[in-house]
Amino acid sequence: MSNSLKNLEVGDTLPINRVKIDSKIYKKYNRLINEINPLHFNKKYAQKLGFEDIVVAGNFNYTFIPKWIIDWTGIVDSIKEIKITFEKPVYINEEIIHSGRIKDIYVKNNEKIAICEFNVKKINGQQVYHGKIKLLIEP
Amino acid sequence: MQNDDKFASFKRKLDEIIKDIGIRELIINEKEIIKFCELINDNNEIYYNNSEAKKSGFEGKLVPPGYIMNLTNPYIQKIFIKGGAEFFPGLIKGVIHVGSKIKYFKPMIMDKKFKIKIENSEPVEKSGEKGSYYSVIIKLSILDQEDTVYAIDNHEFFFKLN
Repeated sequence: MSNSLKNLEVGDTLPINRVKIDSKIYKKYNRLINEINPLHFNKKYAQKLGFEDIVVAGNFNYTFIPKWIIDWTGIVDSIKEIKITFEKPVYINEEIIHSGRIKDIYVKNNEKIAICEFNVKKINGQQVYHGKIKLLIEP
Repeated sequence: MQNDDKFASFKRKLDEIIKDIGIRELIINEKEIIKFCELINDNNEIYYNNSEAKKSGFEGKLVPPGYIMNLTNPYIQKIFIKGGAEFFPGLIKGVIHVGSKIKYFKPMIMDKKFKIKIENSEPVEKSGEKGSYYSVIIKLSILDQEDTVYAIDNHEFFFKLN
C-alpha cells in the first residue's frame, strides 16, 4: 500500500495540482473524441452564447481529477467515486489549480474509506468546480 | 404551445430517445486511449503495457479511470443527435452539463468486451435566477457481457425549454 494512504488522517491536504489547458492540446482532444458541440471549439459561437471564449468541456476537465489522485496515491483502483459540480466555465489557455483535503475516514463493510473534498480554481482565485472523492485506503 | 404541453413533449421525446439507445456495445479504442494519455501527459505503464498491468495484479492493460467520460460522451451525444430539430431549436432553448457522479466498481481491462446501458431520471422542475428549468440525470452504466457493473456515470443536465 502507498505510504500516502497508509498514514492518511482527517485534515491532511492533497498535493496541489496545476493544469494549463493548452489550446493546441485541447484542439487535438476535440478531434480525438469527435466533439460536436460548437461551444467547445467555435469562439464566435461561444461568444454568441455569452461566454468569453471557447469553453473547455466538463469531460476534459474531469480527466485531470482521477489522474491527480492516482499520481498521488500510486494506486489505479483506489478511487471508488467522484462527484463533480461545474460552477463556472473554464476557457482555453487558462490555468486551473486543484486542491483537496481529507474530510473523513471511516470503515464500512470491512473497507477503510477516505472522503476528500476538492475544489478547482483559476489563477485569479475564481472557483470553477468542486466535488468529493471516495478513496479506498484499505481493502 | 402551453408549458405543460412543452414539458410533456420534452419528456416523451427524451424517454423515447433513451429507450431507443438502450443498451449498446461499448467500443474501447485502444489507440485513442493511448493518444489521450499522451495528450494529458499520463505515462502510467498500466495503461500501455500488459506485463506491467499483470505485475500490478490486473488481468491486463487498464482503461484510465479519467477516460470514462470519453467513453460515455458519444452516447450522450446520441441523445442530442437523435433529438434533432424537435429538440433544438424546437423544444429546448439550452442545456448545460452541471455535474457528474462517477462510481467505479471494478477496473476496466482494455481487451475485455463491455456494453453500455443508458437510462434517465424523471425531469424535476427547478427555478433559479434565469427562470425555471428541468434537471435530468442521464445514467450510463458500463457492464461486461455477464452484466457485472464496472462503472456508472450519472450525468446531470439542466434543460431550459422554449
